[in-house]
Amino acid sequence: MMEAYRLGAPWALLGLLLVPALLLWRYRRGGTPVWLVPYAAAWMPVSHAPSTRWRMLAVYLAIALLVVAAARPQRVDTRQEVVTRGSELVLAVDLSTSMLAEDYAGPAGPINRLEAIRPVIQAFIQGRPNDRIAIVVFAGRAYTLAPLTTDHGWLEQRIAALQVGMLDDGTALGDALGIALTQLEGSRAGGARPPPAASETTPGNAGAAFVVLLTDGANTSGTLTPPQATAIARHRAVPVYTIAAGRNGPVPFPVFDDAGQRTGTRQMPSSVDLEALQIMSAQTSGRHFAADDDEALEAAFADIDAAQKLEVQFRTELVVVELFAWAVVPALLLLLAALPLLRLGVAGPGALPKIRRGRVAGGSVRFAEASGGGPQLPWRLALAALFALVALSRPQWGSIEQAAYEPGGEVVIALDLSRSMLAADLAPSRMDHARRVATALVEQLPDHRIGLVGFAGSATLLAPPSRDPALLRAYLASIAPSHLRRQGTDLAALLEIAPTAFTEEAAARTLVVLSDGESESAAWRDRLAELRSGSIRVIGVGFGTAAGAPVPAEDGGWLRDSFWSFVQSRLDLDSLRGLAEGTGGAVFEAAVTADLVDQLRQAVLAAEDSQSITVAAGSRPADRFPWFIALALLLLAWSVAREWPARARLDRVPAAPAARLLLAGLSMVLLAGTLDAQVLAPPRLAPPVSEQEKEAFAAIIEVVAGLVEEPAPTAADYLRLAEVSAEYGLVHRGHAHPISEGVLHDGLAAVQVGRQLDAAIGDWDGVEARLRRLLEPPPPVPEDAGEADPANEPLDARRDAPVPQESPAEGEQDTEQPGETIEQERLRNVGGTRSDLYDPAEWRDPTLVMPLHLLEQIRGTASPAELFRATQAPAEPAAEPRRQLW
Amino acid sequence: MKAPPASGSAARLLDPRARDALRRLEWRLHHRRAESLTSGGQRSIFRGRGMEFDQVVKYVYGDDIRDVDWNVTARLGEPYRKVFVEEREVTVFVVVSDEPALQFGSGALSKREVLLELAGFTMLLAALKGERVALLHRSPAGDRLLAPTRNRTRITGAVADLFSAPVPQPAGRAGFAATPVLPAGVPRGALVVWLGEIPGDPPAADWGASRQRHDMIAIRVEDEWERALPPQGRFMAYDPDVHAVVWVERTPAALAAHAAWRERRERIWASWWPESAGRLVVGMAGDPLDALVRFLRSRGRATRAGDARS
Repeated sequence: MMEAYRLGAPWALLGLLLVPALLLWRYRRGGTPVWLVPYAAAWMPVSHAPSTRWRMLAVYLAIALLVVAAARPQRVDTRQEVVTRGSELVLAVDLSTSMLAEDYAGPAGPINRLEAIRPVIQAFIQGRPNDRIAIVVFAGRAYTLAPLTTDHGWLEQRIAALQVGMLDDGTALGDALGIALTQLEGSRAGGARPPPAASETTPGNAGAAFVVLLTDGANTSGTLTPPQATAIARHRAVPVYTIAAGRNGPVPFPVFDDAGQRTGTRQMPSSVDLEALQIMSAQTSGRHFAADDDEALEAAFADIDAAQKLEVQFRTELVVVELFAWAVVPALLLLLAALPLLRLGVAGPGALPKIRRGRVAGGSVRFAEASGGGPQLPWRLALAALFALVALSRPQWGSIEQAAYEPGGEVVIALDLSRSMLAADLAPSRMDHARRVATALVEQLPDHRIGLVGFAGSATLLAPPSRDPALLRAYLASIAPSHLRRQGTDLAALLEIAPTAFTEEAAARTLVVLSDGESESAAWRDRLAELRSGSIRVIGVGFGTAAGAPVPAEDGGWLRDSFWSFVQSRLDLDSLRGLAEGTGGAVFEAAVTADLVDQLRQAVLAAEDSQSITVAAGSRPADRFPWFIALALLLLAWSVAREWPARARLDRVPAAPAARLLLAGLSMVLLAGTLDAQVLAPPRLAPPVSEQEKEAFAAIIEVVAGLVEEPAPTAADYLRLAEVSAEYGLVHRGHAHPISEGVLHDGLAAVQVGRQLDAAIGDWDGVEARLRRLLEPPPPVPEDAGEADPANEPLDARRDAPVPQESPAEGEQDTEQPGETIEQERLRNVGGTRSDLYDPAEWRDPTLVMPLHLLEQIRGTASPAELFRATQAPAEPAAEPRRQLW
Repeated sequence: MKAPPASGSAARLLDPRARDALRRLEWRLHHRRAESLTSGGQRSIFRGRGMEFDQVVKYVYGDDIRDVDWNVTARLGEPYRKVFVEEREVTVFVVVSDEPALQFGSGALSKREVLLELAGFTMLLAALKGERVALLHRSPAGDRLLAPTRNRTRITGAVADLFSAPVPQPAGRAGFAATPVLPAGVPRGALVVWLGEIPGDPPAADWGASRQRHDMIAIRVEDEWERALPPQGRFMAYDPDVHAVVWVERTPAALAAHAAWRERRERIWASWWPESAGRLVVGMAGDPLDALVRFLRSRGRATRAGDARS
């Protein structure tokens, strides 16, 4: 953490001129109140008047401090948080029935393995706040529960909801590892990585991504075998940490009766394939842990936690701390210390009416016409102190615009998943169109928390609003009407879910409904009041055309009605319009609106602006304490001029000290001017320079010094200069510091000169290439939550790879829907392609072709949407009256 | 300071405060003390010891038996009494030395107020007795003189003028030497009532001779703070006497200095006015007018007793 100090209002330092001005004033006109007491001089042989010097010094110091306070001293904390961002990890959790074995000791008796693991995983996630974590669950098949995300709160929720029996039984160890690897592939943008040269020095860059595989059995099912998956992991240098849960041998299993009631336990054999796990971890330079009790489990995660910490990225954060209190409080204390001096003015025989009050000032004494009068209270000083105290309480009112603000607006995208969305009147289909619009909208609203609701005959919150829309993207890429069992278009069901989808702290709520609008009933109208009370604006986007199109059926044909004629689905904007108008939103028609996404974005922002809550979002209360300090200063100056006694002298009015004081004042002006200039310059907020960088720079200086002294530099000298320049650039880029381009240009010039001298002395081309690469602007350093923009991501890497055949299950679905394959491709590219992990070259490795091929097969079936479909089935009523719904 | 024009005998008065003070004085003179001071055939309290023997006249019933000249009576066989000149013509010459040091009072009144009241009272009393009255008001601003007169209106006006005279600036006393030494022009044999502060220095050698020319009474007012150091302390004070600013604090050294100062002042006072019957110190407590009346009465008796002895 670096600190810098600055003044928020440096011009206020001109107030320091008050000090010489007051000195001058008091010298010429300042005075002491006196009481007319005849013969007092005879009574007091020695006049020990208290010295005003030190106390007045304190008062002037207080004034100076208040001036400084009015100039708003601030500490700018440049927090250079070292973010341990390097760890992107996938937790693969076994959900097979053997996880029910109760061989862990809980606080209240034995608990099953899942119960034992759950809190440990949650603690592990909490302990790695800067990591992006994905969760893969597996049993008979492997599914992605959550793609890589930083939304850890949500991850913990998902983990809390894990249940044994969600999935078909079995233990697909190989598939789980494979799916975990696919998650890591699609994770990181290459830009976050150190430059290639730096990564060469840290072989494997191992800390960046890893998999934690938690299981209790041997591989019993799945497409990939553990060795195959391990081969891929090893090739991609992804360490696999394996944790074997539970004991081998007979363990107690719960026994349930037919009604699902637990009746007791039974000893059943449990076998963990320790060797397989050990091989997996050993071959990928991970570690294996046998966690047969609670402590061992926690120790295993603690070990992983300790092993996988990598500091990659600096995050610079400006925190401005107002320091005026550090000036105001001493100023008040100084005034307090000087207070006894004031008694010189107010004390005395003030209660005696026949003693005349006068004032010795400027060498003469003057008496008021009216004699007597009580002591005058120093009300100016009292007011000044009062204002200073008020300033200390840091009054704030009004608001100022804040540059860095947090809108906190939430957008929930409701995607119509009815079958009619498959109609192809918008190419390639309404669904694809809606998906693209939604994906683009997510990109357009980077400051928003965006969630996703899918609805058809029912509605489900697929992804809660989050700033890290990894899950949302995963769903958007793969969700299809087939995933929601209950068909139809029930807006009422959507509106029932929608208010609960927004979080409590949402400053503005916008529901974007992407639908073709053929609502079955008008029941949604009853829910409008609820939307309004939750201040949710609805923006409707109608997909489709008025002419309509036939709806594809599941069996490959077209949907027909009871008269065996094709169902023609048409766009029906009425219900969407009613929704939007009822909540103050807007409606768009996708087929005719140009710049739909842009207009949507503006509509969302407009809807948020119209909500009173968000008005204050971009501003923070304005500090008003400088005004109070200024008031206090003026009053204090007035008090010093009139209330604070000066030295009572009747015998001098010299002019020379006055001139001297003027000179002092002028010099203070100059001083203030220089201070001004200093504080106006922005503080340097450069990240700390490491030893390596210093060495690199020292090397350059050394070589250049050598070159300068050398009468006739040789090619070797130039080569050396070029090399140290390149080294300098590499080191600095490695620390994410700005590179001085002059150094690199010097290096290039050295290459040119040196090559002419002797082209054969070294690798001129290599050095030149390195220098030129360094001269290109560095890739943007992403924020911790920053997903790479898929649109920006080159797809070349993937295009180079042989596209494997689709799995049969997918094939069925996709045959009629050519757009689906594109979306499948999109899924793989969500978040960008991690080129260093997904290496097209790995297909050339004969030992990897088969595993990679198998991995491609299971890739598409493991999406969160698939998991959603897999777990949704039991919840849906099986016997639904047969209706034609689309 | 402007003031509304007053009515009646006080029409010339400008200052309402002075007018009030004058009325108060007159009221007291006529209602409380007048009888005792003026009743009967008692001689004026201002007629003290005769200044100049004039003649011997036949004694008639009612004359003061103490004035009988027994020598002449014995020689001529019938009573005669002595007659003095001043009996016929006495001028009460009031001198007010309005020093800045008078502008002080630790009580409800300042020394100046008390002193002016005493002066005014003396003048009015003398006027009531039918004496000729003169007033010399000396202040840093300049001297003002009321020539000897019996005109009651003029005397009252002079008193009012005295009361409403501007308070002299305490700091501007350059050239103002407030010694009791009388200027020339004071009628011979006048009763001089001098009101002021103790002079800073003992009198010069010729003071005794000048004093012999007139019958003189010295009156001063003394504040509590002049008797003892003030209990309140710790303040800056301006001393108009020496034009200096001092820090007043009750310290042992200050107590000692105060005592020494007081002793010296008493000595100076006594050196200017050696006869105890010719000097009066009025304290701020009690009624100053009472003190004055008592003083004048006792002085009258004492002088007459002195005459009788001689």
